[in-house]
Formats: sequence, structure tokens, C-alpha cells
Amino acid sequence: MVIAILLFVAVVGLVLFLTNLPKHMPSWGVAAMFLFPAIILICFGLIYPAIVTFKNSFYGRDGTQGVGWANYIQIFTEPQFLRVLLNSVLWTVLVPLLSTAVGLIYSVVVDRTRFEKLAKTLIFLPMAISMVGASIIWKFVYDQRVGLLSAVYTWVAKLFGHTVRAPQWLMNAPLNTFLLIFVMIWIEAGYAMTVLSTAIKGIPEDLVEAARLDGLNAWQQFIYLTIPMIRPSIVVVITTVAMAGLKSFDIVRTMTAGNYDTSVIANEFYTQSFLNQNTGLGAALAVLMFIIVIPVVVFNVRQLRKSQDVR
Amino acid sequence: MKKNMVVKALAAVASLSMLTGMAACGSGGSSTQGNNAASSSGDCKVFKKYGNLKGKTVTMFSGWMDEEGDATNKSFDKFRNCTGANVKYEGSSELSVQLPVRVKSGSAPDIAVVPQPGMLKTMVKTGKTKVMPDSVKANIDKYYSKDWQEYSSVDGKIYGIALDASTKSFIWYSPKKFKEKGYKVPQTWDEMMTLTKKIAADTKGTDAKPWSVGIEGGASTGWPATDWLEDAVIRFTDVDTYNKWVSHEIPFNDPKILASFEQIGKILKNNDYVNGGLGDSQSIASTAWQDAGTPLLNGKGYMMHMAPFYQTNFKSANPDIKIAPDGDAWVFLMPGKTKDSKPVLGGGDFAISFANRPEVNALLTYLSSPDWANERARQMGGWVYPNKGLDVSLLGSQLDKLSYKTLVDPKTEFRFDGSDLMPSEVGAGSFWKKMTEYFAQNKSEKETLDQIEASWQRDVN
Amino acid sequence: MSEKKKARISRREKALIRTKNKLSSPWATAISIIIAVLWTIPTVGLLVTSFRQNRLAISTSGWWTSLLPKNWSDFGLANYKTVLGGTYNLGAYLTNSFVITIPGVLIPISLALLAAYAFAWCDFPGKNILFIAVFSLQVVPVQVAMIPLLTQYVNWGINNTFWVIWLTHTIFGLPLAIFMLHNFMCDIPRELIEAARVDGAGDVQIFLKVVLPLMVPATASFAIFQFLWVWNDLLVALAFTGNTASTAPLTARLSDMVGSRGSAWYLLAPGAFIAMIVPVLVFLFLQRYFVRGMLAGAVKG
Repeated sequence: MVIAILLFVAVVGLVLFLTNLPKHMPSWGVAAMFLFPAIILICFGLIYPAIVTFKNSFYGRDGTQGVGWANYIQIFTEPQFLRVLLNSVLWTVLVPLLSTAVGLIYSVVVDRTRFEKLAKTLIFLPMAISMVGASIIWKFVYDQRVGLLSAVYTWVAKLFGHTVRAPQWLMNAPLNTFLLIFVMIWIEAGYAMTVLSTAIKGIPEDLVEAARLDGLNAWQQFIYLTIPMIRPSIVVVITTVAMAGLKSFDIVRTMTAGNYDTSVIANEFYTQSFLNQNTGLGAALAVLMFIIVIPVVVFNVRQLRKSQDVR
Repeated sequence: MKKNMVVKALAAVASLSMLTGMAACGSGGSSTQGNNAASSSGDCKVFKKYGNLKGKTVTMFSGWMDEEGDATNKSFDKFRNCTGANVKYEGSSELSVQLPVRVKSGSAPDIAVVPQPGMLKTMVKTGKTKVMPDSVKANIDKYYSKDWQEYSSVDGKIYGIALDASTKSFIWYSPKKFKEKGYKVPQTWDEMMTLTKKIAADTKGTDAKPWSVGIEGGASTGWPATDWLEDAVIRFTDVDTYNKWVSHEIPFNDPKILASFEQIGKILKNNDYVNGGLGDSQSIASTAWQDAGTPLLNGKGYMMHMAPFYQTNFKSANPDIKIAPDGDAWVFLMPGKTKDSKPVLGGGDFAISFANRPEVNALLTYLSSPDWANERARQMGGWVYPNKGLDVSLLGSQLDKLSYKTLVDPKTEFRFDGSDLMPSEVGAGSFWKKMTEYFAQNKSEKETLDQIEASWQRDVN
Repeated sequence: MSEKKKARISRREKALIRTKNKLSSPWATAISIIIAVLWTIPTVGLLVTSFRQNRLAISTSGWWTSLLPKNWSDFGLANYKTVLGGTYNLGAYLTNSFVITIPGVLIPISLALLAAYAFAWCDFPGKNILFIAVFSLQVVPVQVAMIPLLTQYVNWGINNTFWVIWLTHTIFGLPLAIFMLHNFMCDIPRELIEAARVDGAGDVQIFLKVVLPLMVPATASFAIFQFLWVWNDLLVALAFTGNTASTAPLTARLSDMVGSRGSAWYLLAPGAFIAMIVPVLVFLFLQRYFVRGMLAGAVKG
């Protein structure tokens, strides 16, 4: 480990040293030097596999026979795959929106209260648990017999005078997909909260003061001051969580194995590529992940333009 | 399904994902020389024929982990000491995914253990596996029955060695509870149904039921249900039909198969008969198979269809449990239509090879010999061996001996687990999934079979 | 103005403001309590479960029932003893987790800082396109790259070493790291950079003397996330380490443990907690970096 770090420091040092050598390095030259190591790695580890995947999506099971659009046609004509696409879209939309909402509201509410530190730690804890750990935790909530949700459900029903058995939470579509999505929200809210509360703390005090003197109440402050001020951070959080939501597969795989209409693209890709050895279909599914993410990218491009205008 | 599947089943939690790593590593650092205190010291006669392999390394990859992994690893100690070869053993619970990835990327182990013949065929298709050397063939001819030779061959060439076997058509019950209530172990299917009815009457109005069933197992949810159906098919049709069904010469939803399915449906869909201590018929889909035996211990359930390897689960739930014909838990063979018919469903693990270096062949030859089977039997119970040269006295428990007897009994009509022979899109895909929906969404037998047939036609090409 | 001075002023200001206690409506209190409870209870359930010794009870009764005084006798450390005992060898895996995580955080972040600087403060043709491309690559799932990457590693003969896993974490961490750090970097007031240029500093000096010091809090907070992601990662670990005590991290061991023994909740619960300890400590000790905020905040200079 020490060797690796030293070696690596040497590389970065070399980049800096070489960049510094010429008297007047043009700006693009500096950029080239600074980007060089990252771009090399990205080409090797991400772009090349992505291209291979794209190519494979037009081939058959073992990647040797061209099949044209057959894999895509299969995905878009079979109900089970359409369901998978729909679920992935739900994950990509709901997870970022709801975890950002929870994270934002929470950071505003506990900001500068006496228990801020403790309160934030509580929400952050799920971040420290691996996805697999989280799935295990939530099994204990959603289990029909020993789950907390079932207990609460039967208790509430009792209050209204009904004796009922809790349903099989994870088997009833479409509710089960939302329950799984909630697990991801539970994990990501801590991340959203941390980034956003950092941004909130960065709002200059004089602006807050001015807003108060203008007679804005708490709610108006939140809408007219806080949100616009931390807009860039909100964009960052939504974007990164959307990507994570789209890629997430551990939760689905652990909790329902993709049964009962809960499968998502990442899980289906895994099943097709590795368990069924159907390279072509798996690749086509992976390509669809790129397509789903296009709106997220477009949204970011716009934000980028906006912020550059500001600068 | 086999134990290994089971292991796989567990990938349950191991959501996991992918996997792979390199082949070359010992499991848990135990690739070193194990301690030999236990092994009869220095008797290297048997190993003479393998020659001196000092400085050579063989890597082996399987799905056995923890106790099973340790026991397997220790079973090579004598080989290591006597030949000087270094056997590096590695276990992973996601072998079925990791192995193809490693093979594709050029880092295949020397020897891999695959949990079903279907996977053996898939691996042979990659063109990377080696035909077994003559020394192995000789052992196989000598020690294995025709059936087993067939399971480990592709196109008449031997590519695999059946290392161990499991017998699955057993039903667990509690002899103590049976005795208390005056129930008798049924000898025919009809007797079993009569007993079921009687227990249902006796337990009416309580949450105790005659049968306890659980098929949830994370990523492999549904497999115990496939065993139920296969067991019904081998009881209510004939050998020929079963083989044709498994190889898809007749459609998956053939009327004979449907009729067999309806026989078990009478139990599995009847809320007076299931699901002892666990809920109704729908709860079968969400009960972990590892928990399905729990009701037998607390009197909420009376019978559970599950292979003998379930003994481990009983022991982990209650370390003091007595597994014996007069104890807390024991098994009887799922009866056939008549007293004399003894169809048994089983599985096995197969070693395949990706290298033909002399040291690899030496280890393969050892694996196909009774010496290895005996060695492994010494290290660990819970398994039986298709190797006819096995010293039966080494089988640890009464239960293992019973399984072995069942396996080698000439009256036994042994059938390999169907889902292990089917293409994985069905055998480890739609078959599991649709059997799960059969319970979870209360689908009919017909709809279930129709959907599996549709997926076979669509996904397997 | 030095950063220290600034910090002191804002701290005094903050103290002033705190006395005014702005958002203390009952609604706000209710919301925060509901969220906090909802977010905490499931984990408490696992914690309680990890101390329950009756294995049968775990799968037949809710964890809260064990809190009744009559069931207290069921609590004990047996499960933890089992997990930390010989067979499981968690210690070795814990060490691996550190060996994997430390370079797995440092390397991508350093490379990303360089790249982010180029995107934020250099001009070159095609900059925006390239930036968007890099950040879109976040969506490439690890699984897609497995076989191509592994094939290369095998060819280079570095298979089954830590190099492989460091490299892989670096590759997969870069797009997000560049994206986040670039956003933070853009918050640095332009005047600071321009002033340094006027003083005749080259890009390397600006990067080292102006940008890096200002980026410390942001980088540290991102580093914490990267730490958590790498520490809790299972996919990369499984794909590239082989499941052995020589290179596999704790997460891989845990999932295998469960993998090979079914619903062994009684082992999984303590295992999950042992794996959580380090990330939680990291969070607690480095929390101040989150709270410090960024020099320039979200205000564009």
C-alpha cells in the first residue's frame, strides 16, 4: 500500500513538474497535462467497455452473430422487460427527488438547533451501512411475520377494531417496488443532507440577516433565499443520486431477487449476462441504462450553461 | 437442487454481485499444509503413482465455504504431504457467476467444481475445458455407475468427475411428535394423503398444520418448489416422460406433467394443510427455506419436504437436537404410488478441469478415486458419494448412512434433479420464478406451466 | 484576509444568530423527530437482533419483543463471539478493507483534483463536451466493465493483487469525483485566480498554492463519501479480489458468510455492525469538515 501511494505521488509530481517546465505553457497544454492521467484511465476502464457493450447489444447470445435490433425488439415487446424499464425509471426519478427533499427539509429544520450534531449523525448512519447490510435491516421491517411494518399495520387495524394479518409486503406489486425504493432513499438521504447542509452553512450571514430584517418568515426564507442560494448543490445531489438509483442493484437482488415485478435493469442485466450467459440481451439492457440517463445529462448541461453565464 | 445450489441459494443475502477473482488463491489462507495430526501419518503408498510433484501448484475453485470449504481443503492434506504439490483451494458462494467470468477473461482455475450437469455442459461449450485423462477414465469406469458416467459426459466424452451426491426426496418429520399422536410413517402416496387429512383434522382451528413449506432463498427463491414438482413427476409418470420433460422433447406443460402438479397442488394450495406455524399457502413464497423446519421443533408443523442436508439448519437452530429414528427429527422417503416404487431425486457436484498439466491430472485422478471420497467423508458428514469404492463406515451420521443406502439400493430409481439439467434460463430462471408466483400470486397449476413453457420457447435458443 | 480570521468572525456571528433561534416552530420539531425516528429504528432493530442468542426466536418473533424485561435473559455476546472467532477470521479482512480503501480514496481524488482544475480554470476546445462525457460515464455499471477489465489484468499479470482493486476503484470513482470537485472548484472566486496570474504565477503554482488550500474542506468532505463508498463496496471487491483472506475486504467476507449459511441472521447482524464501526467513526471525527462549509459558499464572487 505504501509503495502504491509513493509511486502514485511520484506520478502526480511528474505531471506537475513537466507542466511547470516550459516558460509559457498555453492553457490547453496545462489542461492536457492535468487531464491526461484521468482520461487515460477513463478510456481504458469505462469508454472501452461501454463501446464493447454497445457493439454486443447488436449481437446474439455469445457475441459472435449479428442479430440487428432483435435484442432491443425483444426488450420493448415483452411485458416483463417493459416492467423492468418502468421500474428503473421509477428508481431514477423517485430516489433522487425524495432523498433530496428529505435531506433538504431536515438540514434546514435542524440547522442551528441544540442537537444538530446528533440529529445529523442519526440520518447519516445509513450511509455507513453497506447496501447488503441495509437490505438485511429492512428485511426485518418488511417481513410478514417478524417485521416491524407488519406489527404496526396490525396494531393500527386493531385500533379500528379489525383483526387482520399483515400482507406479504414484498410480494404485492406495485407496492413492493416503492418499498424497495424507500430503502434506497433511506440510504441516500444522509448523503443529500450532508452536502446540502454544507451549502446552507455557506450562505453568507448578512444575507440571512437582511432577509430577516425584510420581515421574511421562516418559510419565505426557505423559498426565496435558501433554495436559490444552494441551487447548484441541489443539482449536484439530484444528479449523483439519480445515477446511483439507476445503477442500484444490490437492494433488489437481496430483497426480492427481482421477483414479483420488482426487477430493475441493473439486476436484469446481471441475470442475462452472467447467469443466462446471454451477452447480447444483457448488453442491450445496459445500453438502455445510458438512454434513461440522457435527461439527467441534459438537465446538467443546462445548469452548467447557466452557471457559466453567471461566471 | 443440490447442496451447492443451496449454497447458492444463499446468495440470498449475498446479493452480490459479481464476482470473480482470481483463481489462484487459497481459501482463507488455508492453502498451507493443514495439520496432519488427524490423518494417519505418513502412509503414502497410495500416492506413489502420482509421482513427485514438489514445487507444483494446482488451483481449485468451488462453491463450498466455511466448514464445507475447510473440510474439503483438509481432504487434500495427505495428497499435499505425500506428493509435495501445493493445492490452493478457494471457495465462493457466487461460483455460478464468478466461474464463467473468470473463464471468459482467461483466469480460469485449474479445477472447478460445478453444482450441476447443466453448468458442466455450459462450461464445455466454452471450449476451455479439458477432457478427463485416461487415468481418470479408468477410475470412473471402475467406481461409477452408468448413470453417473452419463451425467459427467458431453457427447460421449468424460469431462467431469462426480465428487459427491445428495438425495432429496425425503420428508422430515418429528418421530417424537408422531409417536405422541399415534401417527405412522406413510408407505404410499395415498397413505400420505390420508395422514395429511388426519393431522389437519386434529389441528383444526390452530395455526398448526400438517405441512410446513418455505421456498424463499434470496436470488434463488423458488428452488424447493421445483423439487416438489419434480418429485411428483417421477411418482406419477414414468422414467421416459421425466427424461423427455427435462430435455424438452415434450412441452413443459404436457398434460401428464399438469396432472402430477395437480397432485401436489392438493397439498400446497390447501390452507388446511399448509403452512404449519408460518401462515397460509401464500406464505410459502416468503418463508426462507432455512426456516421451514422450525415449526417441526415447536409442534406447529408435522412434515417438511427437504433433503437431508437440512440437518445443519436444525442444528443451528437448536444445537442439542437429536436427529435419529426415535429423536426430534428424522426423515422418510417420499412415498410413491405403491409400496415398492422408490423414485429418488438427487443431485451432485462435478469437478471439471481447465488444464492438463501432470500435477492437475494427478489431483483429478485422486479426486476420482475412493481414497479421496473416504478422506472427505472423514473430514465431514452430511454428504454421500456416488463413488462405489467408498468405505461406508466412514459416513458420519445415521442420516448419511440412510442417504447412502437409498442412493445405492438397486430398487431405487435415481433421477437427477430436473432443474439442474435444464438450461439455466429455465432451470435457474423461469422455473424458480413461476413456481414462486404460483404461491405468491395464487396462480393455477396450468397457468404456471404454460408460462414456464413460454419462457423456454422464448429464452432458450 | 486569512482564513482563520474569517472563521473566527463567522463563528461569532453564528453565535449571535443562534440566540435568535429561527426555526423553532412546532411543525419543524415534529418533522425532524419523525424523520429521525424513521431513520433510526430499523438500525436499532438490527442492533437488538445482534445480541439475541435464541436463534429460533429471531425468525419467529419481532425484535422488539425481546426488549420486554422477561426476555432480557436472551441477550448476550454469543453471536459476536462466533463472528470474531477462528473460523471467520474477520480481522484479516478488516485489514484488507483498510489497505483497499486508503489508496482507493487518495488516488482518484488526487487525479480528479488535477482534472477538475483543468475543467474549471483552463480553456481548451471541446471542454464542455468532454466534461459532460466524463460525468455521464458515471452511469457505466461495474458489471459492464468486468470482463474487459479482468481480461486486461490477467494479460498484465497483476491479477489477484491489490493493484487491480485500487485501479478499478480509481476508474469507477473518477467521473463522480471530477464532477463534484469541479463544482466546488468553480465556487472559488475568479478574482483570486486572476490576481495570482497577474502576479506571474503559472498554473501549477496556482493549483498548488491557491486552489488546493481552498479546496481542503470540500475535498475532505468528498473524501469521506469516497471512503464510505469504497469501504462498503461489494461489487468491485467480488469482481476483482477473489474471496480470500489475502485480498478480500470485509464486505465480501460478510456476504459470503451469509451466502454460505442462509438466513443466519444471528451472524449477519453482528457482522454488519462490525463492518459499520469504521465508517461511523470516520464520520464522527471528520464531521467538522462538513460543518466548516466552503470558503466561498455558494456565492459566486
